[in-house]
Amino acid sequence: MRKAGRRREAAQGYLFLAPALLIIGAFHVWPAVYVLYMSLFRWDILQGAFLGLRNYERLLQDADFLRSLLLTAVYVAGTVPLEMAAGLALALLLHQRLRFRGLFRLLYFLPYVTSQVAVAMVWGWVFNPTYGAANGLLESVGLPPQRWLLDPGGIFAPDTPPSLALATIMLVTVWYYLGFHAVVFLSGLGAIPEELLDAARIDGASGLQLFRHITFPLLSPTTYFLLLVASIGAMTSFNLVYVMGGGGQAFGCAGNPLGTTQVGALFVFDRFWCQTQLGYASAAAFVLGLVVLAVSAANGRFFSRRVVYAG
Amino acid sequence: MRARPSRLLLYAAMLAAGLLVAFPFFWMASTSLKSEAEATSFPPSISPQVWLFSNYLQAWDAAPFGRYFLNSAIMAVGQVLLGLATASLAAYALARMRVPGRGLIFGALLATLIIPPEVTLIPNYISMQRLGWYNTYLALIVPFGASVFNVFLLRQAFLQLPQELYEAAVLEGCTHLRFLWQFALPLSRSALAIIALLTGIRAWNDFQWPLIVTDTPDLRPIQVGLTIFRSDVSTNFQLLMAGSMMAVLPVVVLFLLTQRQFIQGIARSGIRG
Repeated sequence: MRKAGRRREAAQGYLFLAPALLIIGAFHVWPAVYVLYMSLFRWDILQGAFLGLRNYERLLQDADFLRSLLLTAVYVAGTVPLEMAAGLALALLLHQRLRFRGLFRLLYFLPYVTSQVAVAMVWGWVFNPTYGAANGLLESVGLPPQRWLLDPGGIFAPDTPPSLALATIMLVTVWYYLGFHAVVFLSGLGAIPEELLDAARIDGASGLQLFRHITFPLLSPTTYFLLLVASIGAMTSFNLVYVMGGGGQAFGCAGNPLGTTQVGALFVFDRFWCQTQLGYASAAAFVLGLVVLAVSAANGRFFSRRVVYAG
Repeated sequence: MRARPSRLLLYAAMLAAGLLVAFPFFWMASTSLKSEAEATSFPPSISPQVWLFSNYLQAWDAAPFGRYFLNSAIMAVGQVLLGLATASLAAYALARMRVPGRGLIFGALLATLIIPPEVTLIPNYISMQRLGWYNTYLALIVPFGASVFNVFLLRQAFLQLPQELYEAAVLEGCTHLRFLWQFALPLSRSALAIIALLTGIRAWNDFQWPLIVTDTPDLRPIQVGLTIFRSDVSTNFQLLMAGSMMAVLPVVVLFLLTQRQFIQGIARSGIRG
């Protein structure tokens, strides 16, 4: 009797688990395997000849792909540290007992819930080379107008990334994620025991010392976590870059101008969607996925020794 | 007394950051109300000379926005309902039922989190073709109808239910399904609310997936419709901004109404879309 009951409970349990496991398996796990399979074929609209590793060999010699990896690295390096530092600064600000801080927390967070497509439209308009507000501001202080999202020229040297177009997109990315970092940092700050800070204050520690020796080390689990999600997010960033890079418009598919905004996810999309080279795009997606995994793992190894936990 | 000027500085910093963050929203609203001539005058005016609310009607008529909204709503509500159902059942089995190997199953689920969603894009596109789901609501809803994160969050909530409650219910002859429906779910309302909010807003804002699995206005959600609208209106920036306002507004309103749960949910879980 008892045994039968147990068996029935187990069967029912598997039944409860089935829908979730089926969906996650079919649309999340299986595709990660199948992408590898696809990458071994010539696969345009339909599956073609088996190529073995030739798609990968081609990738390594594809200047566009190598550039997309470089641009991804530039994009990550130019956005993640900035948005984290600015987010931390805002969190420290909001952590003070200021009036209206609830209101400002709400405001800072607002970009993060709005659609990246709409936000990209608005910023594209702000940076419009003919009528945009950004050039209006430049003119009012006597500076020459810029072509912003249409300018393929490097901001440091003519042919060195980031182009002004990519740098502009990076700026918008920082704007978008700032509030997210602030909110998560703020909750990390709230978890730091007040007694520790009080004790240090009694011992005569200055504000800067408190931050360097207590707040920042004790915040490290949050910092590490944010670094991880932010770098993974930035490495696979698509919407903002695609829409501001002129994606879907008449003059080319993804990563304008002159491919200087074609980061990894856009390269994959360009080969997959615009050029219907599904096998080749799968190989690129797989390599990009491996890079993401490797960076996350390296992050984990590096920080597991440096993260400090309180209590 | 020393504290005074430094506090002023803090307020100034908070306000300056606030203005920077708010500017694009202000600019979107301001442009959306300008005449075409005023929108394309340089240097630009800060706020419209005449407020043309008719831009919104014009934008609404220039593209099938009603249909786009309906599609986005169906996609968001569908993903929320399916996501809540799959997560509740799975989380309940993992938290409250004697299922052999449930530790293993839970571990395997967590392990799938390392798969970057970007690698799944192309195979999923092929799957939609093969299943005959291309250009249907199924493609917009089902692949996002279950998430490990949601299972994880609900499992935590179910584990915190008092054991005595469960035992008392079992003595009364309560089945698992009834206990889940009558006790576990009502007692986990805050977790359910967070899941519904995050899933719904994510679905509303989703772009890349609906872009590749729909190719008619009948199925396109608002974010995809907006990029098509951009090519249609080309230099009518006041209309493009009116369209963007419409795409953003439902989520902003929802966010303002639920901001407390929402921000706490983000702070606790730290999902980044």
